[in-house]
Amino acid sequence: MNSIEFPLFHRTTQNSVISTTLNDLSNWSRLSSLWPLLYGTSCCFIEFASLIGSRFDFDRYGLVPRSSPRQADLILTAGTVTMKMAPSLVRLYEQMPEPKYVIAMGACTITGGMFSTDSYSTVRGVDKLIPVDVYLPGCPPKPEAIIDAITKLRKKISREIYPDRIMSQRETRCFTTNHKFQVGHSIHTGNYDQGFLYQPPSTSEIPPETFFKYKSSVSSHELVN
Amino acid sequence: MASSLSSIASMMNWKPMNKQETLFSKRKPANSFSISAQQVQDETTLVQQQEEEKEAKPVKGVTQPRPVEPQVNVESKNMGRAYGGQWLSSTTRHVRIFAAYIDPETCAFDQTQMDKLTLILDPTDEFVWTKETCNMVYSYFQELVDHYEGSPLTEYTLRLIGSDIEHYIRKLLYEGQIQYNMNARVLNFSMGKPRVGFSYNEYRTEDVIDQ
Repeated sequence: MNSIEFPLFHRTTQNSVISTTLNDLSNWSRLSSLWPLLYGTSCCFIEFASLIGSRFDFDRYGLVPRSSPRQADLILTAGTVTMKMAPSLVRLYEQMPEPKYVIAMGACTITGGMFSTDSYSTVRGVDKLIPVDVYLPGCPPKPEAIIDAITKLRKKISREIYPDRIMSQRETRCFTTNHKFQVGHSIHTGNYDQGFLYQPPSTSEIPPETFFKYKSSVSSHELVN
Repeated sequence: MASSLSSIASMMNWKPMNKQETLFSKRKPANSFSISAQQVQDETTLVQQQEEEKEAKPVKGVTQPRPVEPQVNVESKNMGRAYGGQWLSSTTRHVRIFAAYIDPETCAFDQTQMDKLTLILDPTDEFVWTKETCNMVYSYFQELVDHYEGSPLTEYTLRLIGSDIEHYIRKLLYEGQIQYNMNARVLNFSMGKPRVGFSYNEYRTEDVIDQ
């Protein structure tokens, strides 16, 4: 069960001295300047942030933390990912341009960690959301362990073959269907003064007339005081 | 033993992985079933007839998904302000469901068409997908959407559908109908490591009524 398959590719590139040297050059240039995204959700970020300081400087490896995913090529998922955060994480990952790498940092992002037994909202492992290159165990991993993971990732990048990477760029498997769900207007319209638009439910104890009277008589700045 | 035999067998079976062919044939179902002539292109009619003859016998037990008419001039549009200007989605590793219409070729993301749900299947290529297995997942998706008819269009419903589809993909993997793609950049085996000598169908327990 869970069988594997090696799909056949039509490899048209030849391996020559020049192409392998160019390949090594491009791999070297990429691994020497991996820019991580400044991303952290919980405790593991403290360890990641301590890498930026002077004691465990990670700028000596070429890592400059970037705030925008468009400029980053590595995401160190530092911290627990909950189901609320999951779409945002996938969106950040999708916004990063190729080539991009992921290090799953800490036990929470590998298998759910301490939340894997009873939590109702933690995602058990970030590889259910995004493809992971290096798994880094620890709760939290020491900064030296993070540097070890970055070193392993650099070694992994140095083994990459550029034509394989280009060839594996995929077609989108897209399928659209109609649905018959109820589409409702969102209550978050951006208007603060919702007193006149509010529809109270029929089971509320406050009768609607008194509620509207209170709303219209007290203006908003008086309510703040 | 079973899994290694099946992997050898699948390697012997030449699956067409030519990008041109899969791209071309993916467009075919939408064109071949539509009766209106507005979308039919002249150069593809010949190929359609040939492929229709090839696909004359459908896969046993699998319903073909109902195709949607392909649209032209789709532009990326956001949801109207009345609906919160948000986008509704359920995103996991293999299943991305959006409450929008996504054009298959240009990837234009039109969110104003709120009566449509689009499923993007396995964008990271963790599995090897063929036309038949894709259609199995698409028809399951359609059954789920029909089953959830009448429920509100919220992220919660989309996530319910998404997790059901993930369970279905896992079931397909356990039964050996889809396989992990060993040419992927990362080998996560996110639905379980490959095991030797274990077949899912052998160990399924039957429901025992008199116990």
